[in-house]
Amino acid sequence: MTRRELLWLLIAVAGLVAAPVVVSASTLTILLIYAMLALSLGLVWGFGGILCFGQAAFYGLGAYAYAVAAINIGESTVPMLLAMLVPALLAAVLGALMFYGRISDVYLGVITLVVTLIFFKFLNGAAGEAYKIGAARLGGYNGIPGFQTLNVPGMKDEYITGVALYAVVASTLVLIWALCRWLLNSHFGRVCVAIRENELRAQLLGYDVRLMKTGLFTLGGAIAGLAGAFYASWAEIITPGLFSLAQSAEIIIWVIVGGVGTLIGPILGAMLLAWIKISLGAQQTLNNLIVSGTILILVVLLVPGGVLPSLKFLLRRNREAALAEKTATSLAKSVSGGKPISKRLRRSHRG
Amino acid sequence: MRFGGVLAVSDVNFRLRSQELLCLIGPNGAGKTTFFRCLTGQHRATSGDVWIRGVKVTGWPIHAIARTGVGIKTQVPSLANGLSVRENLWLGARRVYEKTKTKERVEQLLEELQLGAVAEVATGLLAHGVRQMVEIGVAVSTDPWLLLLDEPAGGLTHDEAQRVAALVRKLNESMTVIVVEHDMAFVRSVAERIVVFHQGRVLADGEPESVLADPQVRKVYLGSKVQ
Repeated sequence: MTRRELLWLLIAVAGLVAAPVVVSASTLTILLIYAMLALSLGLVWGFGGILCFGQAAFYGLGAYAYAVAAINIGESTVPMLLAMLVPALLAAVLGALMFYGRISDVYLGVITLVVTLIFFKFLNGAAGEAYKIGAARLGGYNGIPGFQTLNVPGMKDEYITGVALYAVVASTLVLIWALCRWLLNSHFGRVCVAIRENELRAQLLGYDVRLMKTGLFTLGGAIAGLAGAFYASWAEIITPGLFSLAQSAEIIIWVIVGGVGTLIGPILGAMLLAWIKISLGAQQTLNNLIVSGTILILVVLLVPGGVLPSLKFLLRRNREAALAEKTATSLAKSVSGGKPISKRLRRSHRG
Repeated sequence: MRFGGVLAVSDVNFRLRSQELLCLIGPNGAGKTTFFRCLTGQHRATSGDVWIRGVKVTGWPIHAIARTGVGIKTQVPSLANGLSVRENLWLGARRVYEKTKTKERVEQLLEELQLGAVAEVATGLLAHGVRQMVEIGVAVSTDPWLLLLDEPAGGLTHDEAQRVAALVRKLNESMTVIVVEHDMAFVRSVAERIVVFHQGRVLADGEPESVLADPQVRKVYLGSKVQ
């Protein structure tokens, strides 16, 4: 990590620590949960080139796995692990089927979207006694309320709520971000980026592209599942709406607006757009999806690479321009013996 | 190898000696590139088998065949365009070497291919001639025993082609090389043996002088006026 990146990280951590003074911990928590979800897609899409339209499936499955396990176990530690494992398993199976079956591009998008909608349809209809897992009823359209929320590991009566929940989610997000950074700098991560750039070349160099993509897709599923578990703990109720088309679309919009191919971009995109959505609240004048859609269109037209990459580009250009000016000034001084070059030219014209 | 009604490659059977430098020539559509694709697993032969060093690799995935020690420079340069020259070379070298040795190997390749000046440039921004050199570098970065070069001199100036020819001869000191090429000056300057493809079959096979003087070869590919 460079000094500049370390400085940005420190600023971000300081911002996370100070934020609850300005905004409510509850709002901040949901913003960070969405950021985690966007990061999961940002990882698989931005660095593996896997455009998954169904990241909501892993998110929703993580939430349901958590709620069902929490009702049956009565403590949150194992359910949190299951909330990562179950979506990761689905992602591994689905990924293996798609990548070993040589399915990619738009077909991959369609398959993942269809899987999400199957969950949506199934869970909406899963009401009644027949749809029980242990003591947990799936609850159909109404979802699952009243499960054990996040508690201190091993102490089921010590609930983690409010600012404490925010601190846990924020720390987890920073940890996941650091894990992703490390991973992308590793051999595996660099090969994933190469696959995104040119899949055939990666294969011709001897890399099993199918295995690598399945691995990355599985990791993305696990992160989305964890975000789902945090959501369940925050909302204290889960519904099939987690698998909805709107949810799937929103995640993609967050990533595009923030910037594909970066880790911070999707985090910022999700936080910004979700904050706008929350600020608009339940008013009926402006539809949230129309607002998100408008922002997406504006970003695609004005800053096609996303907000963060465009900002980075502008900063770099300004830095390079400043450097060029500085170099030109020092060069001019050395040529003119310390006098401004314009005066020297005027003098030479006068003879 | 058949594509619908078109028989692209048929009854191709020849042996390669270790560290031989063989040139594959033939008119467009003769099946040269298809043959390379069958060898590297990009196409699965509709009938017949591919054997590499006594191992039947028919139906193997591309990466598994590459791991047997086959490197290829494709006809249209195939590189990770968003990554730098150094990163492209690193990817190949890292597959076969541990970290420290990978770094050494990349530096060695940059020096041998005279790519030091563009080491940090994204390959998508490079001129065609430089990209050709980078792709040859990427193909040899895994230290293959068999190197397949599909039109390494394609689109190059005379001087660039001569540089590539010298590089191919040098690479041949440590590996077996098959070159597909249309540039006959290039072929003459490197070939130890020439195989001529015509309509997916081997038309001629032998030393350059005898093959290039073959009336059938001159008729279908070189043209009777070629000396």
